[in-house]
Order: sequence, then structure tokens, then C-alpha cells
Amino acid sequence: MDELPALERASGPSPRPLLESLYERMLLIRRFEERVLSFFSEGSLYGTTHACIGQEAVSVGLFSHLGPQDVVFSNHRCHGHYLLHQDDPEGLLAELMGRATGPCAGRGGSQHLHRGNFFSNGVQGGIVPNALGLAMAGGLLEKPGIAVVFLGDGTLGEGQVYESFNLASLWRLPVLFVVENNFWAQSTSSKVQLAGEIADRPRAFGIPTEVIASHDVLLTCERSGPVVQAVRRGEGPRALVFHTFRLCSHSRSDDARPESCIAPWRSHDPLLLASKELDPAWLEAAESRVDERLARAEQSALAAPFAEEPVLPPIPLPRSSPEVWSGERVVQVLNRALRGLLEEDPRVLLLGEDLVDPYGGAFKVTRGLSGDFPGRVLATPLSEAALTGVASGLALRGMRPILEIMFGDFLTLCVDQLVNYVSKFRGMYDGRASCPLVLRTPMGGRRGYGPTHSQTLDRLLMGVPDLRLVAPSVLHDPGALLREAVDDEAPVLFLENKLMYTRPVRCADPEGYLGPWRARRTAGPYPTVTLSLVDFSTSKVTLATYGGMVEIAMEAAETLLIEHEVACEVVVPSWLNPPRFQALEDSLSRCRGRLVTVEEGIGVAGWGAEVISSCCERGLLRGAAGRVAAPCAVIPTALPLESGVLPDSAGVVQEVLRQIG
Amino acid sequence: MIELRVPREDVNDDTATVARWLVPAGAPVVAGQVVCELETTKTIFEVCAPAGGHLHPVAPEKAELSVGAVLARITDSPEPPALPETPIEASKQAGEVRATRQAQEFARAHGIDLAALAHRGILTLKEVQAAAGLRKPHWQTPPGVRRVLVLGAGVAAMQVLDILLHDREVLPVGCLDDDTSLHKVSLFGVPVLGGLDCLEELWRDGVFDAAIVGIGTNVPVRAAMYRRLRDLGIPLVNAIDPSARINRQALLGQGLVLCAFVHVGVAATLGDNCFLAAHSNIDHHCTLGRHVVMGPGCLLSGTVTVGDETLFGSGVIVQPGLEVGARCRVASGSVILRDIPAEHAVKMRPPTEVVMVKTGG
Repeated sequence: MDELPALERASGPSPRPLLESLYERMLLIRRFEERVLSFFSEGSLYGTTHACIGQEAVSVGLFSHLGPQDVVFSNHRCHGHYLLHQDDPEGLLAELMGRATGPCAGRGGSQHLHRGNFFSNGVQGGIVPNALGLAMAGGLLEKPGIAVVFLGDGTLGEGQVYESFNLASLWRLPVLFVVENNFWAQSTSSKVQLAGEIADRPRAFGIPTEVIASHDVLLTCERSGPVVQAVRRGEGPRALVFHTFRLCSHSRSDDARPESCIAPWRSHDPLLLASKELDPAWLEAAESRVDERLARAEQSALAAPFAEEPVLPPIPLPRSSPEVWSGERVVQVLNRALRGLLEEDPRVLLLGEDLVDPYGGAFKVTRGLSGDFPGRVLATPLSEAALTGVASGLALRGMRPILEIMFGDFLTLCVDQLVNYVSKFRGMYDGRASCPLVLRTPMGGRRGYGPTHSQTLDRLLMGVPDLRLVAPSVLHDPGALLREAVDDEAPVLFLENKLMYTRPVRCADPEGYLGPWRARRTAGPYPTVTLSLVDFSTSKVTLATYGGMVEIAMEAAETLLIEHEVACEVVVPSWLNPPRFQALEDSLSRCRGRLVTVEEGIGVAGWGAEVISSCCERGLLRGAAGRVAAPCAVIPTALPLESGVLPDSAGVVQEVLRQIG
Repeated sequence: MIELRVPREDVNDDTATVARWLVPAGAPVVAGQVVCELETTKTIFEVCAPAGGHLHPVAPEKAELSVGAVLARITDSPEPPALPETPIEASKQAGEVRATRQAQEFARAHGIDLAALAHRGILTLKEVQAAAGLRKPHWQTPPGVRRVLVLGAGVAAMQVLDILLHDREVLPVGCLDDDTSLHKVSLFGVPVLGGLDCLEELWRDGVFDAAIVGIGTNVPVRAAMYRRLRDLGIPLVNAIDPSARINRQALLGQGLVLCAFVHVGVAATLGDNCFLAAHSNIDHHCTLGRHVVMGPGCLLSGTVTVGDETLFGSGVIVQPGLEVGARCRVASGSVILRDIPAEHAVKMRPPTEVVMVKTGG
């Protein structure tokens, strides 16, 4: 038989009304979870479910100090937290049964809940920086309340937790980290996955941490109060570590824990402990009140319909921003756009590594901004994952954060946030939340930065629902695109090309000429620019390209016309995913359906592949199509080797000639 | 003399802009003295004199220079050094007319001044040819040489052009075709001037003297174009390959295309607008109607009659004295042993059996 940790009990006489009120809340959670488990067995629930049976004293004690103004970010085991914060068993049951009357209309289910200031997500770790962002936004927007985020012992294996401890402590954010240590991460004992002490972890970052080992709801209530108050007073983040135990399985039928370790906890069932102090007649009355409420909830949930549309309508496009042509370099245009956004919109905040002066960012995009906008341009630690999470939390609560990731290659560190948080919130919360953050990052090679600072990784994030991929080029006004991205309710990945920063933006003159080219652009936000060397009469091939490859494609097109009498159009979208067809279709009709795509990244399952296959689906192609892209290879550092890997204009010329035979 | 060059300050910038000269031109400087401020996208940095002497800036303030370009020279004299002027790259000259290689060659060959056609883009072969064809109706043709327009620009038209280009009495000046993809093409240097809707305008402008139909197996279209030329009063020329053997007593119509090694026998008659591919034999006393089209190697024995608009595939053999009616279609390799009435298709039955009769020994 496993030994119990030294559990504490409240001393002195119990204040009866308080205990009754706490008990009834615990009872509601317990009976709710029991019902849920029985519905689960009957098959009337969708998805999995994680009950918190046995752990009720922790949340009930803590939540007696929290109100609706406080933001709560919970994890997979969130039913109890939701019921305490929102008092909505009706909605929660409907959500679990997949009904339209659930807070997320059945899109979120058990683990993905949002109502008012309550959020939950089923992936471990990432919600911690989200909570930081929510807390930070609360401060900036002068909203009352603190942020509370729930971790388990298992969550402590995730890196974003520690990035967040560091950030919260550095920035003294009003966040309360709550670790519900139930000693088991699913089926694995914390003994085999946690080194050191849990409480030492936040403490290492200067976060005062209190450990409460008790299933006595009066004690958890009493001891958590001062901690919450400290955070509320603006004394910076705090951590609370509760030692608790789950008396049920992790989700369903997956309890591999030996009975020998569960048994000793049964006598510490928080309801059992509290009921000993209470009057049996009152207990019976409480039982029937809870039962009645849950029966009503069950009835209304079962009667409710399912949501009609499986897929939410697309996020509306932002307002179109007027283009300003100054002939300046891309880096200057972006810098001025950021300055304008900071001046005009108090919700805008810049975050990233090395952004502040005198350095002004690795590519100098933010030069001169930190001095003029103190507190709104933040140089951050090297914590790309947590920063994306923080920006996401900021955006969820109404800010317009612009996050710079120093090199696009580091986006791999942000993918967890981008895929499972940033882009998910709207969809899983039934469109009742939006996460309008802009993540700017430079991609691309030809600088000799080598294998890990030269890649074009755009394709890794193509086809993520609700995540917009926008790529400026020298043919677009990058400033206007950035304004549109900031105005967009969708999260935008703003993919810059590092070679482009020093290039001047190229604008067409009033007659529509751009050097020897004629230019057309589509109306509305995120325009597509089409170039023709032969005044939009018929051409032989459409070259579709974007971002840093634009000038390479233009050079190839000029060579093809001058040397080979082959006229090409160049179609340059600024919106990458999913492809938009208006300009492509027009161009392909003039080029008799012959298409060659040009991209800097690896071709396999890339942008070009997507453009070609979707043009093919629409019958826009005449026959074969060509793809110019990097081979599936690591980018070498030495210039002659790097040049051998990255696609160039000679390669484009060759591919076009091959296509037209 | 020491040259001061633009250093590479960071990996992102291939150029730098002269922000400020800190010493006037010709002024004395000492080694290590800061003389200039350069600006990149990342930073402003100072440039020091590598040696003492008199500083002579090469680039003015605000000028953008490539990394490695000469920024200034340091000499022993306050007078600026005499230096040869750097030649400006030919291609970067202002007012330069940009044209494709083929357009340039065409212009040179035809004495066309590209500057007169120049616009802000790149001049293409099509534009130069079209301009030449449309704006210069009087080509430099010797007296007696007729300028010929070919209707169609496909494979049949190429066969027609091949013949016309070997004929000193005619000069093909262009083709017309409704397939817009062919409009930038030139066939053996002969431009495709546009669609058939240009025909009247070109005729009115006096761009050509005569025409011929360059359409092959699409017999109805071939016939329709012939009628259109006739209606406009446009003369038709014959395109007869020099290797064709034509009996002097044979009667030939107009708008005929007779390809290499065609034989037209004694007293044979060919109606207008026939197209006979290479190696066809129209033997003695045969009569072909109008718009008859034959594939290569058709063998008509003597005194055969073929009606209007009939199409033969290749290698058709017709026995002597037979009659094939109008608007028939005869499959390649057919052997005609009896008369074929008008408007019939003849399908070839492949030989299934070889009949051998012993004739000797």
C-alpha cells in the first residue's frame, strides 16, 4: 500500500454556512461527473471525457475566491472548473452531448470550452502562455481580474510551462499558476516522470509558491485566499501546488493504477470528509436539489438540436488598406507601417527577440520604435513557443499583438501554438472567440546563413484551418498588407523574405507600367498582382510565384522573351492559402492553360503543388504543368553550394522551355 | 593613389548609401581619420581613411553604392586626380530600345527602325512584323513579283509557304489564322498577321497582290475561303513545287497547291483550289473538280474523274476510267475498283489474305 502524503485538516469548529455552500458545489461537480460517466457508458456522449472525481476540494476551495471578472484557462480535466466559474451545468451537458445549446455548440466538447472569461484546451502546456497573454491584455485594457491557469503534474514535462514561468515573473503578470498534482499523468506515476520537487519549479523563477496538501475543502478555501489576494493586489505571479488524487480513471477504462495506491485515498474523499461535519437532513436536501438541477439539465440537453453547419463560415476579410508607393525599401515601409499602427491603434503591441533600440531587431524592421512607444515594443526572452502563446492570449482578449520571430526557421517552435491554439480557438469555440494576432517572420536563403537560418518553411503551415498565410513581395505595398493583417479577425502568418528587406518596393506608374511590364492588381485586401510583358495579349506560360521569388521570376520572364520570344505572365498573390483563383484563372486563359509555379521552399507538398492541383481540379490547365522549387535537401552554408540548391532564374527559364517543348 | 572602397558591414546589405562626407573634397586627411558615414538598412557606420593624403570623394552624398565600389581616392595632391571616365553600360543607356533577339534580327534584315516602333515595354517579333506588314504595304519587291497572302497558318500553310518561298515570282508577305495562339508565330520568317477578319482591311490597304488557301484536309473550310477570296475579287496564285512534272497540255485552275513530285499527265484537267500532296499521280486524261484534296502518294490511273470537294487519304489507288463523285471521302490505302457515287465514304478493308498463283517453273 502506497503511503499518503501528509494531508492537512482545518482546525477548530467548522463555519456551518460556508461548509454547506462549499459542499453543495462539490456535490454538483461529483454528481455531474457521475452522470457524465454513465452517459458515456450508454454512448450518448461524443468524444472522451476526463472526470475530476476526488479532486473537488481543490477547485471548490480555490474558486470561492474567484469571480466572473477573473480569467480562467483550464485543461482537459476542466468540467469542475467550468461549473464553478460559469455555474452552467445545463450548457456543459449539452456541449458534451454535442448539442447546439452548448457553449461551443458541440464543436469543442469536453476539453474545449469557452464561455465568458472561461477557456479550456485539451493539449498540455500551451494554455499556460495563453493565460499570460490574457492577464497581460487585462492589464493593458484596464480590465479587472486576474488570470488563473490550471496545470497537472504531467504538464510539468512541457517546455512552454517554464518559458511562461520566466515571462510571468519577468513581467510581473497577474497570473496564478495552479498545479493540481494528482500524482499520475494518465497512467504514469509522477515518480517516473518528475525529478525534483514541483514547488521548486516556479520558485526557481522567483514565483512565490505555496503547497497545499489537503482534501479538506475548508482548508483549501482558507489557504488559497491570501494567494489569490496577493495576485489581485498586483504583487506579481504566484503558484499554488495542490496535492490531490483522482478517484476515477484518467478518461474512461484507462486506469492502470494499482488499487493499492488508490485505496488509501478513498477515506480522504473530500465529500466524505465534509459530509461528516454536516447534518444528514441537510445533506439529503442538498442531494435532491442537485439531482433536480441535473435532471433538468439532462432533459433540456437531450431536447436540444445539433448545430446545423459542420463548418463555420469563413472569417470575413479585413478592410482593404490603401497602397502608398514611396519607392522606399521594404524594411523602411514595414517600419513606417508599424509606427503608424502603434500611433493609431492602442491595441497594437510589438513583441519579439531583440526588437528594442539600439539594435532594433535582427533585420531592423522595428528600429526607432521602442523609444517612441515605451512599453509597447517588448524585447523578449528566447521563448518562441510561449511568445506565440502570449500573443495568442493577448489577441483572445482584444489586443492586436504583432509578434516577430527572428528567423522563419524558428517557426517550428511556434507550430504547437499556431496549430492547436491560435488557429483553433475560433473553430472549437463555435466562432465565439477570435485570435487576431500577426506573426511576422523572415524566410529564405541566399545569405549564407546555412541549414537552420535559410529555409522557406511556409508549406509546413499551409492548410491549417483559419490560419492565413500572407506574403508581401516587392510588387505589393508591404505596409498596406501589414495593416490589413492587423485589421484581420483571423490570425495571420506574415511571411517576409529576408532578401527583400533591402529591395525597394516597385510600384506601377499611373499608366500601369512597371519598367517594361504592365501591371494589374485585384481589388480588395491581400491583392494579387499580375504582370505582362506583352500588354496582356496572349502569352505562352503563366508563372505563378510569391514573396522573395518574384524578382527571380521576372528576370526569367524577361530572358524568355528576349532570348526565346516566349512571353510569360507573372502572377503574384499575397495570400497563399488556400489559393485564390481570380487572377490565376484570368492569366491562364490568356496563356492557354500552361502553368509553371516558382517557389523558394521545397517542392514536395508545397505551395506550387497545391496551386497546380487546384488549378487542375478546376480544369484550368491544358496538360502538364511545371514546378520550380528547392529539392528535398538541407541548405548548405557555402555560397556556391547554397546556390546549387535554391531555385534561380536560369532554372525557371529551363522549366518554361521544357514545358512548351 | 589609394582607393577607399565600400566595406561589407553586415550580411544583409549588398549596398550602402553615403550619408555624409566629413571632410571637404581635396582636404588633407590622416590615416585613421573618420572621413565618411555610410548607411545600410541596419545601421550607420563610419569609414576611416586607410592612409594620409588628400581625399577626393568619388560618390556624392545620398549616392547608393555596391559593396566594394570606390568611395573616394586619396592622393598626394589637393587637385582631383585625372581619371578616365567610366564607360556606361550599353544596356543601361537612357532611351535604349529594348527588343527581343528575333525582333532585332528581323528589323535588321528588313531595314526597320526599331526606335520608330519603341514603346515602354520590350518590342517583340510579332509587333515588329505586324508593324512592318501593316504599316508598310509596299514591300521592296522587284517588278513583276507578286506579294501573296496565305489563308491559314497551320501545317498545310507551311507546305504552301515552302513552295512559295522557292518561287522567285512571288513573295509571301503574311498568313492569317483565327487561332490566336499562332499570332505571335512566324512561319519561315513570314508573320502571322492576325485573324481572317483582317483580310478585307489588308486587301484594302494594298498589303498583298494575290492570295492562296493554306488549308488542307478540312475541305469545307478550304472551299469557303476560296469563295470568300473570289467574292472580294482577290486573285489566286498557284503554288507548284519546282519538282512537279506537269504536262504542257494539262489544264490548270487557280489557287492550286501541287507539292513535290506531283505528276499531272497528258491532257489532264485540275479544277480551282485543289491541294495535291507530294508524290500524287494524276494520270493522262483525268479530270479533277474544284477543291479536291489528296494525301501523299495517291495514284489515279488514266481517264479517272473526281467530283468537287472530294477528299482522298494517302496512297489511294483508282483503276482506269472510273468516276468518284463529289464530296466523297476515301480512306487511305483504298483501292477503287468501281465507280463511287457522290457523297459516299469509302472505308478501307485491310487485306486479310494473300492470294498466290504460280506463274513459272
